Amino acid sequence: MTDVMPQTDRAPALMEVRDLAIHFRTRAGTARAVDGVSLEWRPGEILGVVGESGCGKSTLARAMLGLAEPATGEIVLGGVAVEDKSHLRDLRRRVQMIFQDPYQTLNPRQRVRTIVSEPLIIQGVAEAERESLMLRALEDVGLDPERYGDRYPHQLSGGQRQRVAIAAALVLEPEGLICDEPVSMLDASVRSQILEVLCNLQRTRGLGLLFITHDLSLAWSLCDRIAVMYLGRIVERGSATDVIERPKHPYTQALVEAVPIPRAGGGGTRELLEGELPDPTNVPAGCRFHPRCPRRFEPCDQVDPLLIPAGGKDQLAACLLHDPTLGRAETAAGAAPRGD
Amino acid sequence: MSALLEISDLRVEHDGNPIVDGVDLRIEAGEALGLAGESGCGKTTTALSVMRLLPPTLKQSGTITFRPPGGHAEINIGRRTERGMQLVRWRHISLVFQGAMNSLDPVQKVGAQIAEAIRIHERDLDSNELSERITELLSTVGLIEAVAKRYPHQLSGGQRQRVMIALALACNPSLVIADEPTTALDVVMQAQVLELLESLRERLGLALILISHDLGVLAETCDRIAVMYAGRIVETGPVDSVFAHRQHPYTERLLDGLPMIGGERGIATPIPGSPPDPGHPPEGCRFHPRCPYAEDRCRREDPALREVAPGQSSACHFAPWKSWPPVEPKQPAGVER
Repeated sequence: MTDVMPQTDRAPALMEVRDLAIHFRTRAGTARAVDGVSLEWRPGEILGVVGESGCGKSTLARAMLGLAEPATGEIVLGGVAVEDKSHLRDLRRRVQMIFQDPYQTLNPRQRVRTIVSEPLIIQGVAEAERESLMLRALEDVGLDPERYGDRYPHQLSGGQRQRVAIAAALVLEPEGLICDEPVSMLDASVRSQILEVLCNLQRTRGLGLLFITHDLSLAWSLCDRIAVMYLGRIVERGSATDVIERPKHPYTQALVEAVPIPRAGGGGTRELLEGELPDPTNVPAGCRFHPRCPRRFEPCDQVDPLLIPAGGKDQLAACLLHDPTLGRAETAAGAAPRGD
Repeated sequence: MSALLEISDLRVEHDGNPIVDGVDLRIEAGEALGLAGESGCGKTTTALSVMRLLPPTLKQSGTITFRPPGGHAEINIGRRTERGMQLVRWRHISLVFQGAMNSLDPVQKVGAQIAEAIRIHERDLDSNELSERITELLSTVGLIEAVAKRYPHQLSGGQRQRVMIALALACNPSLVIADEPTTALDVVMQAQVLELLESLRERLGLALILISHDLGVLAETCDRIAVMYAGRIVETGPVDSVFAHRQHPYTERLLDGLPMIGGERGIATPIPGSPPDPGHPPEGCRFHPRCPYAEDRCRREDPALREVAPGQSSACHFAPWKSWPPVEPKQPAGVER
């Protein structure tokens, strides 16, 4: 896709993904899990990647840490392309990741202080420095090292475990932290505590956050920018408020429409998206969303749309409704924005 | 008017420690009640008590009365024999478990699993009638006939959840208890399943107990809501009143913490700490150690659930609340640039 971010005079992106594709060979054929994605993650930015399960958002995140082999495209870290294994150690020091389930990611046989120190050992940090870095990381996530340092994961609550996972990710002082559904397993009251920890780190350390989530209201409430993925592609992106409050792609509109609203009367009646995400081994021709799209028109089953300007400043949507040459732009506004 | 289901003074003990401690609930025929609260608050335990499906290590007391529609004799669930309970489960009350979509038998076709559920209560159906019933049930939950010939692994999560709902409906119950039925699903599929539950309620006159930690889901689907904390109901009332004029600080803090698209962005001040072990609750009001409005009285006196507005009850000494004093300003979203 010819989807080049406008190059301005600001500092190089923390990370950049250029026309990335990741394919998996399955018995049913080649699954195009990520199918031509370009994305820029700016230093200190909170970037959200949202979409349904199976849309490729987690695969994209894994590829950004060199955990999945790209078929095409490149990953650029601080202006330098990550080309071979020698770059990977550097990449994983500068960008770290936390996962949905802290019950599975922590070694049950290690104490908290060991878990948090281990990345330092792997990266060859001198023993003298390790202790103080480990203590600082634990304090930054709000865990008292005296009280929790010698515990094992099973002696901690879910929220505390996620704090330990964040501390272990943080101890190398990365520039970016990829968070794959970091709070979706946690209870409401604990959820805000973890989000507060993450946002404080963003503010005090200038840590960039990449949020992978299916929770649109969460992404809306804390991200600077949001990219919406559908079947391996980014179909819309822009500022969080533009994309969620004034979505331009029919898919984003349907996603926002489906969010349950926690207030009296709920969201009322709504137009629901039918069917499910198609199989990535069998991507529909033309616009990949057209079989489910309530607003498809003639060329949609033939033309694969590129990301083009739509709506707000820097807001892009991959939808032919916004193609000025097809004359549908005025009908593209879609559903009225949600909320009060 | 007597309720379809009436729970009074339900207690569930583990090693002598109450993990559900005096819960009263009633549900009218055709009504949808939402049960909200964080993990460990006792909402699933309450649901399992209604089905008498608690593990033997838990001791249940209190009375649960079920009145089947159509003038049948009322059923005292606590007094039933195990054999007697088997006649109640699925025929009168059925349960869609949490993570239910993973509880289908992986080596049996979907149709065979539904047939098994139907046969428990209707033994004399011939095979034509049976397959008709299966097709009918599948179409009720929006699935095509061909699904009956598939294995669970050939279905998506949303389809499996629909099969579980079909199983729950197999014996035409008048009450369905759904425990976190959409938690593992994406927004779009979640909305589809919730819409299905709503339409079933309308078409079949089902009563529904919906258990969820997601207040948005409950707001969309339920008529009334009960919020549980540490084994007790702390607030209950019509959904609209509870969301618009909540009367318990726990409900207030929970709702304040939820992002609402179109509202104010950023992260609300979290509730500090974590929920107490319900078997060992704090003295006085169970929420006081985490409550921003707690005073001396809250540390000493255990507040009772009492009516503070028409149909709405709260277990807070200071209810009714006219307004909520601000706790701390929200943390702004994103970066200034």
